[in-house]
Amino acid sequence: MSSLLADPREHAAAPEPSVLAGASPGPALDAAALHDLALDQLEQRLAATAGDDLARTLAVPLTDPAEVARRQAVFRALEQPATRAAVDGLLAGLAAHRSALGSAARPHTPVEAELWHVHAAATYLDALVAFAAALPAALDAGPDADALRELARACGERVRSADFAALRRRVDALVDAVRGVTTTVWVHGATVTVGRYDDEPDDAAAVQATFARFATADRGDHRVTMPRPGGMDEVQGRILAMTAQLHPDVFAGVHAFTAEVPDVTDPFVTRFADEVRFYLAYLDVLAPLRRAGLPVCYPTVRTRPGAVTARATYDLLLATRLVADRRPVVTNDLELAPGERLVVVTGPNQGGKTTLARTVGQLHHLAAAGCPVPGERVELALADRVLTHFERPERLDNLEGRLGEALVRMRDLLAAATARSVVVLNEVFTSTSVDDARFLTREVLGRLRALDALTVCVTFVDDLATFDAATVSMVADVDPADPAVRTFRLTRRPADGRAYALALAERHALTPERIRRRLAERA
Amino acid sequence: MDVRLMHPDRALDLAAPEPRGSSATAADLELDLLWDAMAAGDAFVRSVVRAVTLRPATDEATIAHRHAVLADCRADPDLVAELEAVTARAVTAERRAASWLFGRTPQMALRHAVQVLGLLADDLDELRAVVERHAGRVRSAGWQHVVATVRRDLDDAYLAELRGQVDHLALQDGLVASAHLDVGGTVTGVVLRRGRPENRRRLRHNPLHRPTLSWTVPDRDEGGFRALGELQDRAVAAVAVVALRAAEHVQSFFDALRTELAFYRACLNLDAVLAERGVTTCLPATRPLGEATLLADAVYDPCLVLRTGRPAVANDVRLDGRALLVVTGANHGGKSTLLRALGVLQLMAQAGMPVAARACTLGLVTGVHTHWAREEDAELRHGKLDEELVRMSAIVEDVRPGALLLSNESFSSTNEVEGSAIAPGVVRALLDAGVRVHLVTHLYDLASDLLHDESRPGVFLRAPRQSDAAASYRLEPGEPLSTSFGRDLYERVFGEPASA
Repeated sequence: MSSLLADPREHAAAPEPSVLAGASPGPALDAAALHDLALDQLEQRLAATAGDDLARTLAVPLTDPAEVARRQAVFRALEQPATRAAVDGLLAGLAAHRSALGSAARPHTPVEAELWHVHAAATYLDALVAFAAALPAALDAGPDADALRELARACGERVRSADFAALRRRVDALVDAVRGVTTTVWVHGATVTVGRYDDEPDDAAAVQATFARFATADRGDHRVTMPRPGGMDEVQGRILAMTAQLHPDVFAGVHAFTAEVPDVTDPFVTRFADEVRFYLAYLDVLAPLRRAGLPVCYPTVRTRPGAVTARATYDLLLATRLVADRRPVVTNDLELAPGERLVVVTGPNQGGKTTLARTVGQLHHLAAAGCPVPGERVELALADRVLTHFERPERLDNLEGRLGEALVRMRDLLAAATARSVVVLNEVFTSTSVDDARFLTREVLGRLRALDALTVCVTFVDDLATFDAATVSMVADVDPADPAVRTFRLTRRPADGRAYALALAERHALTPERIRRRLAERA
Repeated sequence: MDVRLMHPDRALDLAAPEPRGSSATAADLELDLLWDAMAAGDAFVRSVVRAVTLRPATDEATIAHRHAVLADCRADPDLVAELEAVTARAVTAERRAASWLFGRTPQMALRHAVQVLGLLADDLDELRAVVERHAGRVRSAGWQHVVATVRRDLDDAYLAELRGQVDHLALQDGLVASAHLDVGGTVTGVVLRRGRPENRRRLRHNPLHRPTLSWTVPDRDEGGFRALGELQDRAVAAVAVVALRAAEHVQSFFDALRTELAFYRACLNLDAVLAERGVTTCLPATRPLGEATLLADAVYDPCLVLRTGRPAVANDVRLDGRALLVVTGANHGGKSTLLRALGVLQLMAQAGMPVAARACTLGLVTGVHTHWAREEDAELRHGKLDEELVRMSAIVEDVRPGALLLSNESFSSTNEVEGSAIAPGVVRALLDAGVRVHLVTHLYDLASDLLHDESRPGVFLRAPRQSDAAASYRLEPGEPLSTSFGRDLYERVFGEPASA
């Protein structure tokens, strides 16, 4: 008995594994950059389920590819249904445990609090046993993850210990005994009478049998507000107390357990349950995208700058909104050879240019945070930071002020950028004349080229698309059949002004071949 | 217990949504006029007849079944009227109950259900009496099923058992329930039970096995009484639901009977209205699904008769195995009227109603689709041709092999070259897929293209010029002519020759 009274924290004294901590974090993205890349929305969504502190993890890039790999491994493992189910089961068990303890706070009768205490213990112990069995099995089936493997080991040691087994046997016996109690109640006037069950016949069945012959067309919901079961009250408290009196054999054991074992939880389990919410919240954001058929992948991350590949990539947050509205999402390919360090994006308004620029920034930052990213195949270099410059029209009214403010921000950006940075410039210097914009942008691009930072520049100045030999030109396409229709697709080709004049085509699928095919599909 | 006046093997089911395009079809064929006449002011009858018309029966047996039931109704209209009276009252039992189902706690619901069931028990007695009075006069399978069902399921013993249950559910001696303890000790799994008579001791009410403990809610303890009420609600919840469902089920039996009666009421109303207008109807002979047969003598548009109050022009149409009918000819020559008459004929026949023709044999179709040129359509988002293409594309989306498409001047809202470029391909592809196409067109290229297509033989009718037939609107077999008849109409309306 003495081991059951021991502080359970002692069991977890040696290893306390973390699935999230990084040893070498880089500088966090500032609020403006988070906003420009729409990652503030992502952070909010994560915070809604994981809490502010954990969500903050998103803003901090890792600088060591090994740490990126460690997080990616946890994500991959959690994407396996078996591993995910194991973790979900544990979290559900812990939530139920907490809620049971909360329920014991203000009892109508002392027996009530004791029953909650037993239930809370049973819930936790069951959850941990299930998790300790399911997690290693799921990891064995793959994919494995070091961080989760360490956790599995600690769980296994705990549940295999002798004192754990004794504790569990005792709790299970109490739960079974209480569950076995049936009581009979007679309500007459204001008096409640309680007795032991004497196998009285069921009344609803008899009524149902009489009316069975009419039950052909069920018109659906009856119009009764079903009473909400649960919620202890005075009458149920009295029934419980009287029932406990009529079954003393069962309730003495419940009382003893409550006095002798105040807490059954393990701190290392609690810590994991907290940290894993970051991963799960992120995967929850990805889930609707996957269901909509959008690709998500684990980026291959290099330390040294070089080629960039991103197949079928897209803006994570825009896609989330579009999918929620059941609208289609357009994906784009980005392919940069090792020497190609400047991407100039041109094309018609509302054609997806800013989205592409934001996507490149998101890819680099999310990859550095160890997260899966939007796209089919993504390879890139770990950026030391992602720097952004978006127009902020709301700040100042007069033109000179706005241009001045933009230049100040640009200067700060240039000061922070290195050859390992990713720079996203979106319609910079729009608050001035075209000549000025051309001149200023050329100046900035020249400096960025000298730094050799990877730069994406969205601009309406077409001739910047041939800035230098390292420049790649990407253009937002339109539908050749209807210039008014934007495809939101961007392709690598020379900037071509606005030569989009094409005729309207038949698009009603009413050619004989199409009709035959449509009808054949149904025949 | 089910009603089988509409189907040989099941009750009528109007729960499924109307086929898409139904409201367009109703508008194109002017079915509102038909339904208004058949309803004779009764909104319920109208809703039933509308629903039945728009869900064509696709098997001959169902149509024959309805014809037989209708024959009994025509022979014994009192049977219909008396059952209508019983069912109309029964479906108001809910409202007639003095209790009102508002708060809807289970205890209130149970009291309400007990009242409603008491009223319905009287209606069941009355139903049985009506059926017994008329049982000897019905011949059809549908009516014989009603008689047999009532005799089998509503015999005296059963009606007595039903009243016995209703009395018990009043729970005069309090209630007995069993329960388990949930986590935290709340009461769960509450099941209403009947106490054992042997546990009840003399001069005492307590029906439980001894020993027992008791507690009484103190006076003025509002929380205690509320909790007691909740416990009782939980105890009677299941039985309240059963009792309410039972009341609903009894009512839905009456509902089903009332619904199916409404269809025959509508047919009897139509008999009367058309007889008054001096036109005749017939019960059509049918051919199975997929047989492209239409042999109609003196077919007319009943909706036109109902609108004008006079007999309308009747035409003979003979499509023996031909899936294509092409109607060409003069404007205002009766083309659209004929097309409408054929559409209405098909829908009425497949509803099991009498049809507007002297005699008629027709093959069944899987559905009736209509594509009317809508010149008045003011939708600006689409061009006119675009709008027509959108509607045709929607029809192609819904149409199945064996369906009937009625096309009235399709693709003619734009110029003739564009229409003729699109229409022949559409018509041929639909014919090839097993769709029957009846079309009215003034597109000469289309008509002549179809005329010379020997692999898809059709029947060609032509509306006469006014001068030829003195506005008789009677259509005769005839090949399309290349000149439009619009000039006639123009010159008549304007009273002067066209300038070119």
